[in-house]
Amino acid sequence: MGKLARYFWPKCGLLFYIAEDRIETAFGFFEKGALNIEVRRSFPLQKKEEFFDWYRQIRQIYPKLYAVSMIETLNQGALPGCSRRIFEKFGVDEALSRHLCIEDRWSAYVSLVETKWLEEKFKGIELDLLYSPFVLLYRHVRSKLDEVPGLYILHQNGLLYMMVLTRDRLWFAHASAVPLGHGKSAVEAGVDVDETDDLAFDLDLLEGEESVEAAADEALNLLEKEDQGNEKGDAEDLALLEYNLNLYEEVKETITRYYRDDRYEETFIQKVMLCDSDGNVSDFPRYVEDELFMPATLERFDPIEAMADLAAGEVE
Amino acid sequence: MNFKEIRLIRVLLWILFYLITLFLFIFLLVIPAVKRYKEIHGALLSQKATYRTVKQEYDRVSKKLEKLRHDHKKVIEAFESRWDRTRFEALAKRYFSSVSLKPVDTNDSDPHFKIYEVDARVQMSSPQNFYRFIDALPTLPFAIQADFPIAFRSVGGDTIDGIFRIKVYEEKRASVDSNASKPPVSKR
Amino acid sequence: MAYSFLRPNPKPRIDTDSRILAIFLVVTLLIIVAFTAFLWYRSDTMRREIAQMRQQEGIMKSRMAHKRAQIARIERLVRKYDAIETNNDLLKDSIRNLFDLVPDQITLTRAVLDRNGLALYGVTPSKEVYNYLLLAPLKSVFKRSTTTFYPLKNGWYRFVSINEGSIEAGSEVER
Repeated sequence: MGKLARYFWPKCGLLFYIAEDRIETAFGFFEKGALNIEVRRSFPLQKKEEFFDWYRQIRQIYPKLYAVSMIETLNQGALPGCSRRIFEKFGVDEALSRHLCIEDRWSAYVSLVETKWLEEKFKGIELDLLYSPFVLLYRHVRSKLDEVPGLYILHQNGLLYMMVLTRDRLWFAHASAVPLGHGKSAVEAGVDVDETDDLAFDLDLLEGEESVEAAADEALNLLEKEDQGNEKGDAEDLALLEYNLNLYEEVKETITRYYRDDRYEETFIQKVMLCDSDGNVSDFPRYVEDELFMPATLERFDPIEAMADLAAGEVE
Repeated sequence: MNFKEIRLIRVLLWILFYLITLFLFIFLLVIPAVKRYKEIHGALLSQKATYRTVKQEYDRVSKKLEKLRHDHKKVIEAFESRWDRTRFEALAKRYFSSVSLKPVDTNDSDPHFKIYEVDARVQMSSPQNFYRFIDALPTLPFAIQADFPIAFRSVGGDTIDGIFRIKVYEEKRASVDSNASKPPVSKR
Repeated sequence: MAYSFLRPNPKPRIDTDSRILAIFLVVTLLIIVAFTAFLWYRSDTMRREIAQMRQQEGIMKSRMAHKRAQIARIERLVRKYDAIETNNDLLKDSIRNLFDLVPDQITLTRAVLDRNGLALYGVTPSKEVYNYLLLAPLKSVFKRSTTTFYPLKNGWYRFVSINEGSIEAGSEVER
């Protein structure tokens, strides 16, 4: 019977996110308080117009079409509180960012410039809901939170969004990129395929700044080494291994930074969970268990599903 | 997820809804209204017909009345005028050398007319006067009936004494409305 | 706006296709309603017309009755008048005829006419003259005639003729 509503003017959603060189999209109907995905499509990032055309086509039939996306940039984060004081403490300019108080306990923020960039990039679409990766991660792992502080990481598009959480608190959050080789981040290497766009970062807000700049020189060396010889298969395996290691390094670095940073309240991280949507980090849990002596789990993460879960609640 | 199909089905559903609503409206609103209209229209036509008939009759009767009134003005006047013996005497004096009237009776028994019976005693030189007098009666605005008994007596010389009875008919008026003018009837 | 940076924009309720069809439907239905209203209005107007005409009819009928009464009256008067005139004429004619009956030889001294009869008084040179010249015609007019003679000194006779039961003249004089 609910299906009959599809012939009329149901609320429906078009979810999308950028994955490397393509736009992953999904369309579904809001039925009975949930978003049921009907179809998924993938568009090359070069052919954005196709995506826009699809959007317009659907909208013509279903005027109540909500466009939902997430913002995967580095100029964003989460703070363990909602008050102005917190923002001042951590040096986040409220005027230059979009921020949101989550469940009255912590806030997520993103650079205004970056949201404008995203809106501009998807100008053909009237964006209705925009999620921070931290929020998606939080909601994804929420049911698993308990009193034991854990480090929860979202790995997507070569980016890492990390949060230290217990059931009722956020202790720490950080966004960074997995360095390629000795430092060159995936961000600089290849994510930005659309050459006409400009990533306008406010680099002052970027906390991982030092490591990026310091290791930039060595990136070229590593790439040259990689190019010289190795059969395809080996090279790929090596690259994968390399990547996992770099990821692990970055995580370790971040944990250290957390412990050292006085601004954050300290707690002892006792477990790690990696929610991955890229599918290339199966080694990571082993590294954590071996070297950091903490239980580590790896989970699959589907941004579309994550957004779908959240969107239903916000559209009614 | 066939969007075209959904669009088509939706349009068809709309059309179905439209047709149903349309038929509903027609059956519930239009048909009764049309029926009512037809009924009343029929009634109006028949009413118009009878009205026309009545009006025709009315016009006919009115015309007839007018014509009668016009044609018989004199007669009407004769019966409507109040009996005035002086006028009668005046006329009689033109034909007779002497006139003397003596009222005899006022008869009220006729439902329509009040009858004044008067004896007239006259003197004339010849019966011709009498004949001419009778002929001249219509010039008076009265309805005068010459009646028996009539007696003539020669009284020497050229004079004849005459006695005759006249009956003057005056209309009895129960209601005073004989002079109502034709009332206005709106043209239809 | 619990979890999203952006608040959802308001969306139109129905798509453009449906909007057009809806407008179409509404317009059509409005036309129908208008048409129905028009019919009702005309029906009402007609009803009023009927009532008005009926009323007029009533008025005309009553006036007609009155006029007819008037006509009857006038006709009555005319009949009466004509009767009177006719009777007057008849009366005059019968008197005239009567006097014309009297021959030159006979002189009337008195005549009394009544509805049913006639009394003549006069002088006649002789009975024969009277009988032939007056009595005979009188007999043809009246049913019964009685004559009485009174002789006069000069040989003439005074006569009194009583005639009754007129067949024509005089009897039609109306009461």
